[in-house]
Amino acid sequence: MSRHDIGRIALWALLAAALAAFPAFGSAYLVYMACLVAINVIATAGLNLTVGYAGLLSIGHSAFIGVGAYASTLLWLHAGTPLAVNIAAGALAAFLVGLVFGIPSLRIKGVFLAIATLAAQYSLYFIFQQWTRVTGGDRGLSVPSVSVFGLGDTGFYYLVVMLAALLCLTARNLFRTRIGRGFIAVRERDYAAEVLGVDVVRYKLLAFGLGAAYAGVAGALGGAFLRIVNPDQFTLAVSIFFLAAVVVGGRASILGSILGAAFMTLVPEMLRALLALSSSGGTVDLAGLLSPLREIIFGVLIVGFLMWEPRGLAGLWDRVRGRQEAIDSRPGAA
Amino acid sequence: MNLLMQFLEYSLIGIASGGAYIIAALGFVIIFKAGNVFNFAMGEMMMIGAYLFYAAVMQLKFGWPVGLLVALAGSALLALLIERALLRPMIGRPVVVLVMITLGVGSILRGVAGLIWGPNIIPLPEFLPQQPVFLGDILVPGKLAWTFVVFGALALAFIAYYRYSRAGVAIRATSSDQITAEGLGINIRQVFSMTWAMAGVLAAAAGIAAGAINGITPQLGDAALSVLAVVMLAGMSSVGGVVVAGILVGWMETVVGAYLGAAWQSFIPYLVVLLMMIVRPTGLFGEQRIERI
Amino acid sequence: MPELLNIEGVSLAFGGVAALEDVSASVREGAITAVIGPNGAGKTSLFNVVSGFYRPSQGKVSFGGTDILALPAHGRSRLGIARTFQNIALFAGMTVLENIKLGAHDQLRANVFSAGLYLGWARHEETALSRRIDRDVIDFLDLGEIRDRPIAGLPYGLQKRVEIARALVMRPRLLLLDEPVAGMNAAEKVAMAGYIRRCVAEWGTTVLLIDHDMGMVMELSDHVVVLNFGRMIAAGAPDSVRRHPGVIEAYLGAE
Repeated sequence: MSRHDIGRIALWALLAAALAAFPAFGSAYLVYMACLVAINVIATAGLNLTVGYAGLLSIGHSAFIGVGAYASTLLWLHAGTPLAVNIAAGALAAFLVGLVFGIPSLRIKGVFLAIATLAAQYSLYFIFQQWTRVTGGDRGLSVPSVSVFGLGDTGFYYLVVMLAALLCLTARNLFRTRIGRGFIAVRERDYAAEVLGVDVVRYKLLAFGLGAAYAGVAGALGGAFLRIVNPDQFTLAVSIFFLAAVVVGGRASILGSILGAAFMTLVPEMLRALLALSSSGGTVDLAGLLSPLREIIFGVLIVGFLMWEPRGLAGLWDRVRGRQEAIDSRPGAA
Repeated sequence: MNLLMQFLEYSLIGIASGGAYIIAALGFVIIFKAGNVFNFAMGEMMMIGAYLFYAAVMQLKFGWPVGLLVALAGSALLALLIERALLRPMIGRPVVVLVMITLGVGSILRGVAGLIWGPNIIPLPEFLPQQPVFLGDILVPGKLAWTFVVFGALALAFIAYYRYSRAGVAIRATSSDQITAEGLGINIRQVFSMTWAMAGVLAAAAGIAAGAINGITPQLGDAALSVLAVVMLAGMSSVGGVVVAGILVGWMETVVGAYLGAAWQSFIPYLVVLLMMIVRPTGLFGEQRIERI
Repeated sequence: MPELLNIEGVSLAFGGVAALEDVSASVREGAITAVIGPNGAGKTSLFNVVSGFYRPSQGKVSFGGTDILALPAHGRSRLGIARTFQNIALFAGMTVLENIKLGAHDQLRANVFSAGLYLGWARHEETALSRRIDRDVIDFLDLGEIRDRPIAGLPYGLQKRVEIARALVMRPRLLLLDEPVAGMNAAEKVAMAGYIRRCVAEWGTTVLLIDHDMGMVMELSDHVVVLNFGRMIAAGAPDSVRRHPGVIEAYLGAE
């Protein structure tokens, strides 16, 4: 093994150790945020599969998260099944809905597909809101608390982080095989893909279904985490949030999904902290300022990244690393 | 009043409310035709137009004809700015990117409006005749009737301009085949700018109407979802079809809302879109395009 | 030698415009057949019918005795039909090697679960494929240097070679080449012709190609089919086709 490889493994080990030790030296708030980030990473990675890798424009992702959340919670409330089963149920339900959502992609492309997913998403929101007998309507469902590994909040943190790591790894592995190559081929030129034996119908549906399954896991975890599931968690604004995470983080990149999700989740929090700090002496209406400021920053970030760093945070990372590798390859170094 | 009369009344109100939809939808369609860009920020452009009108008339006390001009011009300028600074450099980028850019712009506009004017609903001054219009026993609120008349005229004027003026021909040529249009001496960059400016004016007009009826908030752009339904129903390439589609959607929304309640009324535009995408993605009047390999 | 591909009475129209009218042709196994004709004659349309993108309104196409019109486009590569495109249909988001691996898509067995896991036989499959590609195709087409480079940014001539490499990965029985030497300089054309001949000689591949370079076509092909305005106007050995009055007129245009 080369020095380079050993260095890489050491880095991963360090990261794993840091993540494992985090709850010990981080405050409850930080652990809470970490859980949120991990859940969002899972959802973003799923959306990246559909939009970034397979090139199918989906603005309906929050619907899948919702399906996962409701399915897992309902199973739990009515059957008392353990968390693992509920999560799997959420993923499965979301997968099936994803397949259905994918059907329009067989006929329409680009913006038209986006609009169809938009309409489909609202339809699900409508069901969440109106099917009061099952979903509790606007009030939603209350989720009982769960103690993972007997460790309470810390246990949940470990669960979420491990799941996120596992699912990211799985997604990345797909792209070492024919499945991942198939997605990219369908994105770039689907007629050429057909001629190579790629069943475009199958792959498009799979892209939607798989992305939705990831979202379903995120939804199930989110429901258990926030202890409540209601329709307002699954609106268009949420879908756009995840789309932004994909684009800002880097399309067709798992690292991008992680960076994008972390970024989009943490920036509003940092903004809030900043505002609280700066107005701690004044009479500024914090709440009134926060919401529009968030929207402006959100918009500026999206537009800015798209215009100047099209490969997103992952692209930025590559550039920084590229410089690092160039430095390392000088004769005499390392 | 018997059931039929009630139905007729709802229908007429619905048709009248379609007026604002038609105007905004025209703006959508010409941007898409010329530049192939789907402007997801259209709703927010409507909203800014309404706020500009409010600012000019109520805050700067300009009087409403001047205020109207200010709003229309300001909106056109904003549209030009968006097109020039943000969309022109992005020509040729994938669809995801263009969609996200307009979504991002919409977000920025909402935030700015929220910062300047706050989140609460601001009613517009009553500048439209309040007198309800009576057709026999049927009552149509004055505001609606007048917006319908004004917008009907505006729409017809716009369509006439689009069909017969040189500018309109230039737009249609560009939408049909950019390369050939350029070869014929049409400055397509000018056409892009022009369509955005026109869309800005139309958006402002529609926004002011929406604001007059429901009051202005930074969320006024949500009404654009109905406009989306109109556009999808008509087909993205049909200017004339927009009129028919606008009336249809306005009618459907009001009638459904009256008989099934507000939740279903909000759902209708999405349902329309969904059905169109499944059954006939090119819309009722749009043109089918064959893709050659 | 038997006929590998049989096209009988194929007609195809778009709207009211006839792209192909009652075209019949047969491609002998192990030989190189060329389809030539002026622009718009229907050559690529014919390829697209064989590939499965267009359904002819009339006619039959059989490959090795099987009626392929009944199969969807993605089901035909399994039979051993490979194809390149006029405008180089490579996938910019992947490297040269990954693009070539797509040529073997049909032969791989990984599904979502085994792929996600990767450590088991999905990985084994991938490394075996990489080795096979290195052995059979990379050296054959002199692609060693660019094997792991992204497609974007590669010169045109190299890209065309990569596309052929992708088509050759599965040792196809029939190779459809749509303008394999378009845009190449003389040296590149000679090299490409060499590769094509080697395929036929070493692997027994049957080749059906479209091209406009008359010199190369006549020299390389065993059999030539001429299309004009969607109809077949001549077919036979290169020499006889070259002298056919209808062919000469098609290229010079009616006076």
